[in-house]
Amino acid sequence: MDKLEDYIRENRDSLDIREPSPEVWNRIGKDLKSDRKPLRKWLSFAAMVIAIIGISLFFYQLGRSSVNRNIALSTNGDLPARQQLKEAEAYYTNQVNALYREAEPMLATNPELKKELNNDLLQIDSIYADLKKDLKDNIANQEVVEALIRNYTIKIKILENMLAILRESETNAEKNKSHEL
Amino acid sequence: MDNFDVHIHAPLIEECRKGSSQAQFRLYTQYSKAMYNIAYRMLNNREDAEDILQETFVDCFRNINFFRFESTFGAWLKRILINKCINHLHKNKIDLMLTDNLPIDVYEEDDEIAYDISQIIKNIEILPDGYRVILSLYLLEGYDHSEIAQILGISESTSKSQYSRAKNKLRSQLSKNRIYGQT
Repeated sequence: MDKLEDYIRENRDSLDIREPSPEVWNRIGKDLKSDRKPLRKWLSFAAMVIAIIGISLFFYQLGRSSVNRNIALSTNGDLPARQQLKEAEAYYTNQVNALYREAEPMLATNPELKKELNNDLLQIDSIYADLKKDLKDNIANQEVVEALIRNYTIKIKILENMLAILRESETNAEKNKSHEL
Repeated sequence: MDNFDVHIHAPLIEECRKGSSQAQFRLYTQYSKAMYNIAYRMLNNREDAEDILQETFVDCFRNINFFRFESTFGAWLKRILINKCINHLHKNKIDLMLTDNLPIDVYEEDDEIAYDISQIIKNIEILPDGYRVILSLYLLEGYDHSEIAQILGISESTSKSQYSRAKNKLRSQLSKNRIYGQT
């Protein structure tokens, strides 16, 4: 038997006398956070796909609008559609604004994300403007109205996703903080 | 780091897979000290040991989906850490294979010797790199010589003789300490 070996094995736990500095965990957190960036990239990619769908829809409608205009003029059925759209517009604008207000304080600490979000929203707004122009020529077209509403729901969805991400990162940050203490 | 570890950490590991940083932090607090001490003993340098510790946990959390419960989580972590340490030593061109004039097994075991843990810690730290690494892997981390041979890319017999030399070197340092009353 080897006395030295035995002694070291018996006292193995007492050999671990050193402690890593708390900085190490912060660095690990930072490294892992940079991994999460692809999620944001994915979000703006999703917005782009939506934009492409929106634009193609717009051109599709443009092609059909000449046919529909004739129908619209002859049936004069634009009043209920206009009313419906107005209501929908008010409802969704309200929701979008409420979500944005909620996200704003969290975005303040995250200027990069804010810029990205604003870009996405601007893109959606420009599609919306196009669709509305289309609608002016062609108010009775139910599909255009639906596209407008879809545009709003997409906007809301993006904001909701963003909020979920922000809330998660905020609670994580708090948890980390409380762990450090 | 016993066998229960697999079952104890399963829910925590599941949480980590979902990206919960709270679960990551809990695993980190559980293992960071032990892992840091291993890295420190292998590299003998605070800064390098902390870098390796950081890299190990980042890699580990990134690849946690590849952890298949074939070993304990601690053993998996330890293996990643040790590989990183060895790579680091190789990168810095530190030769882990030493030969010196110390004959193997020249130091007789003395039954009267009372070892002192702080002396042992100090003397492990001043061992030459190659000796310190092999002594750590065999005696402190519990790898057998065939595993060490694989980790270091050497033969099993080299691992054995290298370990013997390392242990003798440690013994001779300890007895010098006693003779000259160094603390």
